[in-house]
Amino acid sequence: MGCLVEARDLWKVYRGGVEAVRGFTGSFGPGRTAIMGPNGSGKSTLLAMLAGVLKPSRGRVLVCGRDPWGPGWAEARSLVGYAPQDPPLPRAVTALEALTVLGGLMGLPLGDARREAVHVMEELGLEGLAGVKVSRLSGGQRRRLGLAAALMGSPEVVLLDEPSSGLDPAARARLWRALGRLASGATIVFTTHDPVEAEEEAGMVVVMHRGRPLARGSPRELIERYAPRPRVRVWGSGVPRGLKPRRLLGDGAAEYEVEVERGVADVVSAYASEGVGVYRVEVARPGLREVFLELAGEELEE
Amino acid sequence: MRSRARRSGGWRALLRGAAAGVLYFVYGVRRSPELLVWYVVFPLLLLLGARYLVFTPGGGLTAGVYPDGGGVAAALESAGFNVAVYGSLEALLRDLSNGRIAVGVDASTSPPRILYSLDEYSGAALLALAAVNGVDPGSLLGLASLAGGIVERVPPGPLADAGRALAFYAVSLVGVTALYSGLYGGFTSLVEMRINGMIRVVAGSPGGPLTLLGYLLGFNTAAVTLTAIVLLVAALLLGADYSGFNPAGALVASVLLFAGLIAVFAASMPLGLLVRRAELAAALAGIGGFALIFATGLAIPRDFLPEPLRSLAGYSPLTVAVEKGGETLLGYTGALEALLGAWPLWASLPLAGALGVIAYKRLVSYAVEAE
Repeated sequence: MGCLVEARDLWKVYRGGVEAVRGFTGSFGPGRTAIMGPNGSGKSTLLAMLAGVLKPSRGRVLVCGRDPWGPGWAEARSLVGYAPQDPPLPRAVTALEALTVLGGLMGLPLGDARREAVHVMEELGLEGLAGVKVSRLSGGQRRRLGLAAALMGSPEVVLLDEPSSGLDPAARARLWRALGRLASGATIVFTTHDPVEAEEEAGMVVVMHRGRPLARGSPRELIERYAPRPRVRVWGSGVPRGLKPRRLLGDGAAEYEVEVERGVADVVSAYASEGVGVYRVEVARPGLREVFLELAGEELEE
Repeated sequence: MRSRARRSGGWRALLRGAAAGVLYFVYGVRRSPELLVWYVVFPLLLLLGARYLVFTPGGGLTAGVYPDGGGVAAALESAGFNVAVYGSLEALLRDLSNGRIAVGVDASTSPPRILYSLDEYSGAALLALAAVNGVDPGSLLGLASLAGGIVERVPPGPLADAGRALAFYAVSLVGVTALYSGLYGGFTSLVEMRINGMIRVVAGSPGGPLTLLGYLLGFNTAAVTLTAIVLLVAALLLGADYSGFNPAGALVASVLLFAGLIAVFAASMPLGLLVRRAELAAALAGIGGFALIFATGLAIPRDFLPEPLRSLAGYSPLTVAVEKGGETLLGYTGALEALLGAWPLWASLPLAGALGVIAYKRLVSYAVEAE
């Protein structure tokens, strides 16, 4: 079963004084937690520090009560499976052989490593790549192989850096189904800049911006707290004087916030009563994208 | 709580890493032609070149003369010898024992001494004796009277005989591979692993940085072992003379070569701190390795090097490992004698090791701290 991963006042300052993570405190329990934020928000750095592969400049990490940088480092690291965005893989061998070697490097006995490699590849639908040389794999295939490496040995804590990035929708769905089987009950923390994925796949979401956590909670909690009302976007020939848009979008649309979805009619009526042409109307159910917009004051790019 | 992996520290981590490194090499050599070329084809080509271009009879008889003057060289030339004039008696004796010259004439004594080392050149020695003394070589009786005290046999060195020389050269080529393996599989790999994140990921594994160190050593040891087996078998097939083969000596030779590999591997580590681009690291290893295999007497026997390079190369850890290893492997020296005689290797190993450990720790620290 999964266990608690705790971060206490974690800081990471890179060469040149760039503060990638600025005082992150929080914990991650069993189940799936998404760390959501735009590029450069410190998600990957935070995840690498939790995995024990990047040393914090300040602060402390505890994996199941053990510090990966303290006396219990070996035990802490033996509980974690980590997949970086661009996983380092031995390139001169086939995918199955690379996983076996990586399993050995991660401390699995070599016989077990081979069996685990076969099993994990099957679960992730990678069995067709078993005999293909790593140097011939595409970026997406290498990424999935990196995920497979992280899942070998059924770790208690699985840390995945943008696991679905570059995957087509079918592969993405298969990945999450496989994760459900391979790491059921584990503590899974993954990073994403896709609010839809965070909403659909995570039980908890941490919103990161510029190295700091802005909010944390289940997707529903976050939406109810920060973006409870539907948004209406109207593309028209102008903006009615009687309406105050929440904001103007770059492509000529105006966005309005309405109390309930019935309010859409009021907005459109206002356009009609002032003779402003309407080309398109879009009603958006609020999601984590709107939550981020609300919290950070800027769009979450994808 | 269940760990995904067996926790291991210290030696166990090193050994687990080494096992993974060996496995990677075994897999890789089957999948990647470049590994096969590097560790099998390239050393074999060097061996074949040596066998058919260097350690082969022909080219006429060469006589060495020390010192020049007195008409000795001219007399030998008129008798059909190619003549090389030496500046020192020591150099002449060395080339004589190595088979580079068939006959040596020490003209510093009166009458000149005629020297040879291999039995097959005893006739040539008599021919030289006749030429130096102005006697008709056909006059066997007169020649025999001259031969008494002035024709001497110098004990042949290991390289004097072509078959023997090939056997020794095969060991030298294992040293060449160990040198390149120590450079490419050492600091060059670490520079690449620092760039692609492998150091961070493996250093963050349950075994920590020792796992990665074991991985590199395991890979290199497996590579050099394969090269050694291929070269020794190929040398046998090409006519190398392994008579006097000493199994205990083979073990000691393996230990010496492994120690030599570690010395190069460790001594090159500090370069990994200075270089941050994989291409530059590979270029440095290639150029440095090329210069070193010649300068340290691995690609060409040390005795063929000019002074002072020849003497300096005698302190090169890998050269010592190769020479002493070859001598004990072929039964010229005992195992203990070879181990003790390799003192420059043992003396340099702690220094190289200390440098390597410090550099490796800094490299890992740079990788995981990313500061």
